[in-house]
Amino acid sequence: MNVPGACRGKLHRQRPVLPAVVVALAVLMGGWQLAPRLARAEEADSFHETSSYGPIQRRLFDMGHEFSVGWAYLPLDAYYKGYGVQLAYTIHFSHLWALELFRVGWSYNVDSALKTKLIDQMPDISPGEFPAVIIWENTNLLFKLFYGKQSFLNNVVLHFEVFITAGAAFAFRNPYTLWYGDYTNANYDFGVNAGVGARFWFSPRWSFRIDLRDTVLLLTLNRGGFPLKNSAMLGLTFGVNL
Amino acid sequence: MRPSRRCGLLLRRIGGRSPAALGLLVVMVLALASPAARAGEDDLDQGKVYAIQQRDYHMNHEFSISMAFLPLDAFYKFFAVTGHYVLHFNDLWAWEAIHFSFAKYLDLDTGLKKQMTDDWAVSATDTPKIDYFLDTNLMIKPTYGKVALFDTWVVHLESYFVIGIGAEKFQTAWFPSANLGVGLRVYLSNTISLRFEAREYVYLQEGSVDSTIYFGIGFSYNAFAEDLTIRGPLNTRAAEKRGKGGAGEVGK
Amino acid sequence: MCGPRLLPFVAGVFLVLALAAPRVAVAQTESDQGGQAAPPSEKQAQPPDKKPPPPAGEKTAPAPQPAPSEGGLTEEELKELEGTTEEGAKVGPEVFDEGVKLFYENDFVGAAKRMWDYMSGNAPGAKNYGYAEYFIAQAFDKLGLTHAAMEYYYNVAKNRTKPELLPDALGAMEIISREYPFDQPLILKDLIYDTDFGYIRKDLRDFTEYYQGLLDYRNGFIRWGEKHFSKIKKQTYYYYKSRYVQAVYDLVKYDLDGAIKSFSEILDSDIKQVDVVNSTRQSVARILFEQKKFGQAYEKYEEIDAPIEKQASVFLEESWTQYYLKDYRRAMGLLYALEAPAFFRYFNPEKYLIKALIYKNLCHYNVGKDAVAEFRQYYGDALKAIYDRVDLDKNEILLDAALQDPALDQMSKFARLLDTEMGRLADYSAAWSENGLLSHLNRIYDLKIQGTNRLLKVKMDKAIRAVAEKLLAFQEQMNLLDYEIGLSIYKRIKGSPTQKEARRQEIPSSGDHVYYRFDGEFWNDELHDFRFFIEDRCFSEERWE
Repeated sequence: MNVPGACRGKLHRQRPVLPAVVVALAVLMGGWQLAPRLARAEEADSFHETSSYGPIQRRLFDMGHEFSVGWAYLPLDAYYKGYGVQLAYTIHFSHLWALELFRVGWSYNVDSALKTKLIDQMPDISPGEFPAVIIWENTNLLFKLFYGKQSFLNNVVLHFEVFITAGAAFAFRNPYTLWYGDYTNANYDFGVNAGVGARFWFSPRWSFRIDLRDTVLLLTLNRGGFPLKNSAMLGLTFGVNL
Repeated sequence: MRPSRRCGLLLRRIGGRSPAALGLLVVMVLALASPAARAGEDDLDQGKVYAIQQRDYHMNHEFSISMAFLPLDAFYKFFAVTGHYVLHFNDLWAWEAIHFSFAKYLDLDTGLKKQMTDDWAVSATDTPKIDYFLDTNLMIKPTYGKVALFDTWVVHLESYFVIGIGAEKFQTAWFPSANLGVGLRVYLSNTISLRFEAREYVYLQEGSVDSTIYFGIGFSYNAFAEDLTIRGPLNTRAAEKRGKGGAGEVGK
Repeated sequence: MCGPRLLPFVAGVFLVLALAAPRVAVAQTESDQGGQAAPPSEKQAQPPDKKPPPPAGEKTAPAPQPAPSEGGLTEEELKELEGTTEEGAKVGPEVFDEGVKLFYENDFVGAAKRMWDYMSGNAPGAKNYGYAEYFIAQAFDKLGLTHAAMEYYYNVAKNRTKPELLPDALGAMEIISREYPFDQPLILKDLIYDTDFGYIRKDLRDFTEYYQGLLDYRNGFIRWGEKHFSKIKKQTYYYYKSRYVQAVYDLVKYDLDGAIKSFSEILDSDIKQVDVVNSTRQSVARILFEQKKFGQAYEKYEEIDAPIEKQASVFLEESWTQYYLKDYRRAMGLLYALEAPAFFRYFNPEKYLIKALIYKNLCHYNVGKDAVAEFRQYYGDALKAIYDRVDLDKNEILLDAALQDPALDQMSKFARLLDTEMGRLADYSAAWSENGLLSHLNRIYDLKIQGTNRLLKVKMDKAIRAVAEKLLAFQEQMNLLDYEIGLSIYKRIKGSPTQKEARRQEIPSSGDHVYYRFDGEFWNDELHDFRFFIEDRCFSEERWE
C-alpha cells in the first residue's frame, strides 16, 4: 500500500462543517439552548471573537423558590363565572426553566344569566346539572421566553419576564359550593393545561404575576367519562422569592 | 310538555370583566408603586446613573394586519381578520385612525345550543353574530424597553394602550361601542413589528350594555421608517450592534 | 496628574510581545524544555513482538547478562537472553496501516493508540515513522489535545524524516497557533526562527516570515525583520499583523504619524480578524489621545467591538477621554460600567483617581474624599503587604493584577490550557494505559507544566514588583489629591459668590432617547451609555480647569 500517496490527499486539516439542516432540526426540536451555542461555534470559526456573557451580565431579579398567592377568574363557562383565590409554589431551576410544583385554587362561582334563566324558566332543569370547577390543581413546567425591562415615561424601570407553561391539571367540579355538602354530582377530573404568563418585579423578593391558562379536562376519574371540557383561568398573584 | 314549550330566551352575550382595563390598572399601579428607579418630582437627579440610549425604532405610518379571537360568547367563538392603520405623531402618541375587524363567517359554534337541545329540549333564540368592528382609537405608548431572548439576543419592544370609539355590526344592526385595550409591540426590524393586544369592547345594544373581549396577534409594517431614523454617535453604536444581536433584531 | 500617556505605548509594546515568543534570555532554558518532549525513538527499544509490551510507565528492565554458555544454549537463545537489542524488535507496518484505517474511520483514540504502538516498536528511521508521528499529531489535534499535537507536529517539521509532510505540519501548527495558546519557545523560537524551510506554500511562507520577522524585531534586528516582513504577501492576515508590529515599533520611536499611517492601512483593509482590528483601533485611539484629539479618540474607542470582557481598558481610556473633554457625567458613567462583573478582576486604581478628580472639579468635596477613602479601603491590604515587604504573590489583588500583564497573559493561558488538557487525559486511560501512551503523555504535560510554571514564577515576580510600584505611585497621587481636596474645601472666594444658575437636567417623558435608570443590572449594550447625573456645585469664581 502506497501510504504516502494514499494519505496525501487527505492530510489537510478538515474544518468541522455544521450542516444547516442540523441547526434547523435542533431548533425545531425545541433545542432553544442549542441553537445559540451552535451559532456561536460557527461565529468563532469565522475569526470573530465571542463573548462568554449574554446580553445581561448579572440579572438583578432572579428567582429561586417562589410562593405566590392571589386571585383567579374563570370566565369561560356559559353557566357560571368563577372568582377565586389560588396558592402556588414554583421552583426555578435556571433562567429558562422552572417547575410549578403545585398551584391550588378555589373558586366561588356566580351563576350566569343563562343558567339563571334556564333554571327559572325550565322546571325540569335543576341546579345539580351544572357542575362548576370548585377546586383545581396544576403541576406545570415553565419555560421563560424572555426577561427584560421597560422604561415607563423615562421615569420608572419595570423589570419583567414572559413565560409559557404546560402541565397536568386536576379539578373538582360540583354543582354546589363546598359548604352545601351535596357531592352527589361531583366530578373529579384529570386533564392538561397550557398557558402564558408574565411576571413584573417590585423588588428582588416581590413580584406580581399574571397567568392566562386554558385547561382541558379529559377524564372524569370517578365516573369514567371523557368530559372534554374547557376551562380558562386568568390569575393575578403576588409572589415572594425565598 | 317540555318539548312544546318554547322558551323565548333573551340571551345575553356572556361578557366578563375587562381584562384589558385590568391590565392597564396593573401596569399603572406597578409604575406608581415600584420602588426601583423612581426619579421623584425633581427633574435633576443627584448622583444617579442612567443609561441613555437612542431609541432604535420609531414608528411613522403603520399598516397592520392581525388575526383576532373573541372567546367569551357562550354560543360562538369568533375569529376575525383585522386591518389597522395607525398614524404615529411621536414616540408617545399615535392615532389608530382605522381599526377594522372582519368576523363574518369566521365563527365557531361552541355546541352549547345543541347541548341545550339535547339535554333539556331547549332551543336558544338565534343570537346575532358579530360581523364587523370598526373603530378609531387614541394610542399612547408610555413604555419602551428591551428583553433578552433565551439569554442570547436582545429584542426591543414597547407597550401601548388604546382607547376609542366605534361601532360593532351584528347580523341585525350596528351598535355604537367604546373600547379600551393594551398591547405589546415587538420590533423585528425597522419596518416590521409584531403586535399582541387585548381589547375590551363595550357596546350599547337595545337598551343594555354588553361587552366583547378581543385578543389579537398581528404583523405591522412601518412605512417611511427611514424618515425618522436619526443618525448620531449613540445610534451609530446601536446600529453596529444590531448585526451582532446586541440591540434590536431577533436572531443574529 | 497621570493620564494614559506612556502607559498605552508600553502596553502596546507588551501586546506585540504577547503575540509571540517570550524573551531571548530564557530561550536557552526553553529549548531544553521543548527538547524534553522526548520523541519515542529515545525511549528504550521495546522487546520483540512476541513478548507483550512492558506495563505502562515502566521502563524496560535491562536484560540480564547471559550466563556463560555451558553447552546448553544455542546462539539464538543467547541472543534472546541478552534481551533488547539496540534497535529493539520491530512492530510491523500492519500496525501502522491499522492506525491509518482507524484514523479515517474517525476513531482517533484508536488511531493514536496504534500509531504509538508502531512508534514505540520502531526506531525513528523506520519507513513510516514520520507518517506515524504526523498521524498521531493529527489524532491528538482532533481530540483537542493541542499541546501534544504541537509536540509531534514539531517533530515532523523539525526532523523532516518525511519532507513532504512539512507543509501539512506547518499548516496544522499555524491553525492551532491562531486559536489556542501554544508552546511559543518550542514552536516559534526553536522551530520557525531557527529553521530555513526552503520552498513552501505561500500562505505558510507568510506564517513563517511573520514570526521570523517578529522575533527579529524583538531581538533588535530591525532590518532583518523588515526583510522578512517584506516577503509577506500583501493584504493577508500576516501582512496586517506585520504592519501592526511595524506600527508599534514606530510608536516606540515616537513616530506617531508613521504609526498612524500603518494602523490606518490595517483599518482600511478588509481584514476579518477582529482581534487585530480591535487592537489597531485602540492603538489609534491612544495616539489620538496623545495628540489631544479627544473627540476623535473617543470615536475610535467606540468602534472597538471586542467581547465585553476584553474592553476593560477601553472603558478606562474612554473615561479619561471624556474627562479631558469635560463631560464628567459621561466619564463617571464609564467608570460605573467598570463595576460590571466582567471587569471584576481588572486592576484599576485609576478608577478612583478619575472619580476623585471629577468630584473635585464639580466641587463635591466630601464625596471626592470618599473616593480617596474607597481607594485606600480597597487596596489597603495590598499596600500594607507592599510596605511590610511580605510575599506579594500571596495578595490576591496584586496577583490578579500581575496576571493581567500582557507578557504573562499568554503564558498563563498556556498554563491553563496544559492543566485542562492534562486533566482530560484520564478520559482516555482505558485505551492508552496499556501501551504506555497515557504515561508518556502525562510525562510530556507534566514536564511542560513544570517548565511553564517556573517561567511564570520568574516573570510573575517581575510583574508583581511592577504592579506594586504602580500601586504605590497611585497611592501617592491619591494622597496628593486628598490634600488638594482638603485645601479646596477652605478655599477663599473673592467677593460674594455669584448666584448659581439653576441648571437642571430634565428627563423627557418620551422622545428619541430612552432613559433606563441604573439599578445594579448590567446590560452589555448599555455600558457605553451610562451617564452620571450630578449637579455642578462650583461657583463661577472657583471654576477648576
